[in-house]
Parts: sequence; structure tokens; C-alpha cells
Amino acid sequence: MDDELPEKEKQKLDIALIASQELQKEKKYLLKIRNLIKEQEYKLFPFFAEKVMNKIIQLKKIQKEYIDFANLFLLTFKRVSFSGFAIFLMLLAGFYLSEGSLSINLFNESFDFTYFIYQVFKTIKCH
Amino acid sequence: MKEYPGINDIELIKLVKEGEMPALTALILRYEKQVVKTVTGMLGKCREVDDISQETFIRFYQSLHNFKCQSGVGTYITRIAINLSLNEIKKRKKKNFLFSKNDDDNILQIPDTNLSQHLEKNDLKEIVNKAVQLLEPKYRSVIVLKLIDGYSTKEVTEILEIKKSSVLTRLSRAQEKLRVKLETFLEE
Repeated sequence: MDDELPEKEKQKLDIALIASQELQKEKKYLLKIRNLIKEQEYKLFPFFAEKVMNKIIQLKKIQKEYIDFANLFLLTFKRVSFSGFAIFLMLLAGFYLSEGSLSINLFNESFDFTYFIYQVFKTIKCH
Repeated sequence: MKEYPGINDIELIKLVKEGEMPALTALILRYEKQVVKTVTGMLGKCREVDDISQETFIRFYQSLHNFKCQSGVGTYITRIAINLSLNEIKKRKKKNFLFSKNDDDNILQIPDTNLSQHLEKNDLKEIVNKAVQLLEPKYRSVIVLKLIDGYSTKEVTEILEIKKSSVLTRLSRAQEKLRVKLETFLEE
């Protein structure tokens, strides 16, 4: 029925159809159903393309805002992390200059943090 | 509105990728009818058809970078429409299950008509439409693509991503189910 059968099978079908009234009736039913399905109505919506385009433009706007926010966040994070890392390095250097070592064992002894910070600033001032 | 006559779909897609949005409007205008037809076939006449059809084109735009020009634009858009419709059917099923809707809707009823003993063609169309809506989604999709949209078996295999034999089996079973459901209405 869809003209997609190979020639041989089509011939077989035609012969079977001629021979059987039952098959003819079935074919008639199927064609009727197919025609009724084909004729199904559908309704187009007014300003459909405009509505879709508006939604897409809106989406693009939101996406852009999101990307801008993500970029700003990354930039701020980079700056904060760089300065944080620099401070950490400076503290470490100060600690090394005041104590002469970076051994972790030094922390096991009663470690006076206020004194350590004082030493760091003193070292920075001297240099 | 620019319609780009003489420019084929692939060229239009290239233009959209380059940022020329009117080219997208032209594509929407080209395929709007087909998408609405497919979605109406899958969901029946209801207010969700507009939303799903719009969503189809939005998804199409969002997935343009995935689009390989091997398959036709129409086939690609129809695939999106079918998948979104299937999702909507699943949602409806869940909703019906939660609110335990009774199964009266699953029975085909003759519309009230006292005009004549024979059903009018429009009534018959309505009954056939209802019968299609009562088919399982996997059968419904094949019926919609093959009989409403008029796609070839090969195209249906591409859209549904199933084997040719499965398409033919589903089509045959769907038609059989429809025949059984509609037998009493179609007898002359």
C-alpha cells in the first residue's frame, strides 16, 4: 500500500488479494482508516514564529547574564586566590627568616602566634 | 519578515550559526505546519500542542551545534517533536495515575448525533482521532509519522531510531488495533 514492496512481493500480494475476499475487505478497511487519519485537522497558532523567537531571545539574554556572572565570579576568585597565596608565601618567608627553618616540628612546641606575627612584621620592616 | 526564498535549509542553518536570527525565523516558518501536525497527532487537540511545538524549535536552536547535515532538517525537527510529545504523554500518565483518573476515556463512544443513523464524516474523523490517541505511544508515533506526516519507512527508522522491521511490525499492529477498535464504526 505504501509502494515500498519489492516487485515480487507486490505481485504475491496482488494475487492473494484477487483470491481472497477477506483480504480485500481488510484492505478496504485499512485504506479507509488511513484516509481518515490523513485528513486529521490541526490548528496553526497565531504569531507562532514570533513567540518562539521571543522565547529564544529571552533565553539568550539569560544565558549571557549567567555567563557574565560566571566570568565575574572567576575573575574575583582569581584575584582573591592570588592575593591569598601571596600573603601565605609572605607569612611563610617571614616564618623562615625569623625561625631559620620551615620544620613542622616547630609548631609542636608551644607556638605563640602573636609573637610569630610580630616577628613576621619585624622581618618585613627590616628588609 | 525575511523568508529567504531559494536558500536551502542547510544554508539557513549556517546563517543561524553565524548569528543571523532572521534565518531561524525562516526555518520556523518552513517547519511550523509540520511540527504542529506531528504534535497534534501525538497529543490530540489540546492546549499543550502550542507549548510543545514552541519547545521543539527552542530545542532545535539549542542543539544546532549537534546537527550534522547527514539527516534532513525536517527529520531532525520531527525527531525532537516526537521525543517531546512522548515526554508529555509520560507526564500525563503520571498525573492520571496520581489523581486516579478513571478509565472511561479509554472506551470509544459514538458522539451524540441524532441527525441520521449514519455517522457524519466529521464524527468519524473525531472517532478515528480518539482511537489513535488510545494507542500506546510506540504505536501512535509510527502511525503519526507514516500516515499523518507521510514519512517513508526509512525516514521513520531514522526519526525513531529503531530497525526497519520494528517500524513495519509496529505499523501493522497499530493498524490492526485501529481496525478492531473502529470496525463497528466503519461498516457501511
